[in-house]
Amino acid sequence: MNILTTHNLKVYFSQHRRLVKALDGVDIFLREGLTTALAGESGCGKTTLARTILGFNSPREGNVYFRNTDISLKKNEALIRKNIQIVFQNPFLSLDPRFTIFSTLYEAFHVFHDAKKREAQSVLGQILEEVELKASCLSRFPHQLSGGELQRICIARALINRPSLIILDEPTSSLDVTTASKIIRLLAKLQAAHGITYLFISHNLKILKKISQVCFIMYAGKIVEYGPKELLYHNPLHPYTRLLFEAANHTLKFMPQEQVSPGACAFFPYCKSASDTCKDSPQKKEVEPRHFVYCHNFSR
Amino acid sequence: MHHFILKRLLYSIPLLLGITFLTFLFIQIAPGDFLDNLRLNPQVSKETISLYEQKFHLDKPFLIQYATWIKNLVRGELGYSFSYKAPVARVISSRALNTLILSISSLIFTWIFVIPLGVTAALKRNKFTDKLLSFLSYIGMSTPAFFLTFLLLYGATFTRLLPLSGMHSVHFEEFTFLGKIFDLIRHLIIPTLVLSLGSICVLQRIMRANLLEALGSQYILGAKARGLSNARILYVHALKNAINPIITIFGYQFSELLSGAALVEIIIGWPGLGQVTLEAVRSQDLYLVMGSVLMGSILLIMGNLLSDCLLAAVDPRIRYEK
Repeated sequence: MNILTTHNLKVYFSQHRRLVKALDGVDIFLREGLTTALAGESGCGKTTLARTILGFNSPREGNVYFRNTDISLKKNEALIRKNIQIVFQNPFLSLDPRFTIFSTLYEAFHVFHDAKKREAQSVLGQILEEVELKASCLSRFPHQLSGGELQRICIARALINRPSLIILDEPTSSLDVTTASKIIRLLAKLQAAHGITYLFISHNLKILKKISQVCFIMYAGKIVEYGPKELLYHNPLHPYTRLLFEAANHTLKFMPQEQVSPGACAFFPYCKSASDTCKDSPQKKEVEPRHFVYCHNFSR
Repeated sequence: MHHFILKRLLYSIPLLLGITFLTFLFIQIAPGDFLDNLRLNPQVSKETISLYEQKFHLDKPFLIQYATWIKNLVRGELGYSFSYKAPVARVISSRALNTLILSISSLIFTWIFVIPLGVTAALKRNKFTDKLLSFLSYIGMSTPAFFLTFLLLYGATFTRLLPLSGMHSVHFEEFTFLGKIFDLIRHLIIPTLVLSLGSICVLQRIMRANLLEALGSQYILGAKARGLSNARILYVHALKNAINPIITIFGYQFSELLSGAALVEIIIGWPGLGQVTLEAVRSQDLYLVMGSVLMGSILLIMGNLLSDCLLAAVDPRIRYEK
């Protein structure tokens, strides 16, 4: 069962009088209760996709469906707020420095629950327990806590109104390796306990391999390949995906996104196995069961 | 908090010593002293002059004079003004109060406008209202204060709505209490406008920039995602965080106000510290200069201390050192 699907989602920005196609016809689906990974280099549109799902960017074309309700319509915004939450990359920037942890969590709780502060106390204590923090954190300010603790607070805050989908936008990228793996374990535990769906955005393929079940690879505003994690990791098809896997073992160098003539495969200028047919838009091709790729090399 | 204030007060002692020492030095470097007027007067005998010199320690070396001044200061004596023929404390205490009234009224006037205008400009970013405010503030910033004073005085002469100079009307003593306050406010309007306009224009722009920065931060995006109301996001989260740099500026603004007030006081004839300091420097009235410079510095340090305390009160990161 898909909890969220996007159909031909297009989001364009004008930047210095140039049209930037941040999302150029993106179709993704999120399976309920599972973790879907979204990978790709910086600037490929991952965060724009997250923002569009949350209703912060209005798509030029296409729709976002949450359990068959079109949430790209303004009138359905309440549905997004109730059901979809986000955890950002940098926990130091995502908490208001003027608010104690109690106020931060209570404020989030209060949006959907008309509870007095004293009544909320037990709920907040319980949610902190779920993210493995002590209740004594409640009286602290963000600057008195560590990065890992802050990210747990952010997760607690996202969790507090029991959403069905949490978007994790690089939640471990600003943490050290051991803290990151603890957070990953915590997320998996919470998913098992509450059946939450995750959209896990990252460029770290090792972490994605650990946590996800379905993978989408994105390049220049387009999905280039997707499929079940095992298939995709075992047999990467698209030249860009292969490059990502190669780069994961060293360091990924960001490539400049050159303007490609409209309609051509966006990866065409960098592709080792490119041919003349790549000047046309690639079609979706199911190479093995449930494993799809947008590449001319496989449609020939 | 008490610790913090006490520490700041202790730190200000060497600062005050430095300021007064330099002031003392500069007056001494300038040729002549207040007694030169008397020396030129053939009716004043040499004995009288040397008597004066002894009385005011003008015959002693510079450092001894300064030390004597400090010693008297510790005992609470600011010395004697030659030109007013009265103790310095009596001359400047009422003047300092007048300057304080003018500064505080401009401060309040400034802040009443800065925050709403800055918020409006930020919310209407790059729209007509924002551009109009930006245009008007450039005009305001580039208008010299003295020119604006004359312009306003010109307007006041024509309309006869506002008094042209001074702090009180001639019949001030006959007014009731409320009448006195009303009279004071009428006299305050022009100098307050002159003193505030420049800072309103500058600070309003800074407020706009700060608010836009705060509104663009991640916790604001997160707050939107959590479904908080726009009013709560703006007033509770963004505004609270945007106000920090503005409070720091508040401390600096106090110093600007004091020097700006001096100019306005002289043009308008507001009986404040600035006016008295200028007169004192001109006539080399040594102890009066020292007294008014000391008073001005104390006001400035107090202003800065106040802004630091405000900052600590609104920002937990400063409040809890650790």
